[in-house]
Amino acid sequence: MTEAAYRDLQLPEGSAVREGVEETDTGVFKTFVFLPEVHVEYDREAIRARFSNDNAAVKILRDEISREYTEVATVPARGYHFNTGRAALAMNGYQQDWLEGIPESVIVSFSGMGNPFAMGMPVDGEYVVDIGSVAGLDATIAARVVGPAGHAVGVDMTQAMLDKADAGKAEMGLDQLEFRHGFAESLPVSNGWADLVISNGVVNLSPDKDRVFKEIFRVLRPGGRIQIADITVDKEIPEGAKRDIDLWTN
Amino acid sequence: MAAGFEGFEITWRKNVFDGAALPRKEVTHFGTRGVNFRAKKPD
Repeated sequence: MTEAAYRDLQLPEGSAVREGVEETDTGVFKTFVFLPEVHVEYDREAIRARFSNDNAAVKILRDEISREYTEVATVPARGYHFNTGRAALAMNGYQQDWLEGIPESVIVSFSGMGNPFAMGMPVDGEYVVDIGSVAGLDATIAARVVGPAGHAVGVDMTQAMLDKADAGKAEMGLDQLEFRHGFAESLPVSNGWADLVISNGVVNLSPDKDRVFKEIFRVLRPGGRIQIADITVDKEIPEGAKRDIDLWTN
Repeated sequence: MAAGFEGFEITWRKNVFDGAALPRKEVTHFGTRGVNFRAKKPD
């Protein structure tokens, strides 16, 4: 606006105005750009509703992720954009003695992005939750370490992975190991139950990561720990890429 | 970090996609890396 318009407008005291100069064919004018302060109220409940399982887009995303991880469960040697099995375990620093006695069927479907146990092992008698337990490797390692006085619960949404994990558990005979169907955003675990929550390459797959961390907070006891492996990026992901379901699942 | 955790720390970062059977250009483009991180719920 021009200087005259700016004076006539009588903006409220404290309004942000950026002054400048504009040269035109008819002269040089002092200009004023009014920068209104905008308050955006986020309706968090509405945002949450968008990510419920009733939302078709979330359901499609979960179905696509389950389809991909059913492949990892049933055809682990097919080859993926991520490493699997012993190659991934070696890359991520898993110790060989952690793997001894664990069925190869469990090991070959490992598809983690890091190593929750690199930050410390659980201790005898602790209760552990593994979010996105896939074929059950991390939950099995935890269950052996916590022993009969402890408990490890693996949560996964892909039935083929749960079936594989249950078969591995049966083979190992670990009573303190359990696998439950569920989602990271609504864990089937009671409040304050866990001493330690682990996860490996799963939080990035959730459309509502804030909710995932709130769930983790809920299931942990006061003083409880999280030790999570996942992925980060150096560049901001553009909106177009966020809508590309292949980049979520593949 | 969200949800009230304390002591957040990234302890490890690595290109865990290296050597994958079906490499994707987006891994390089976005600098995607595997990380380990930890935190604690306050006492």
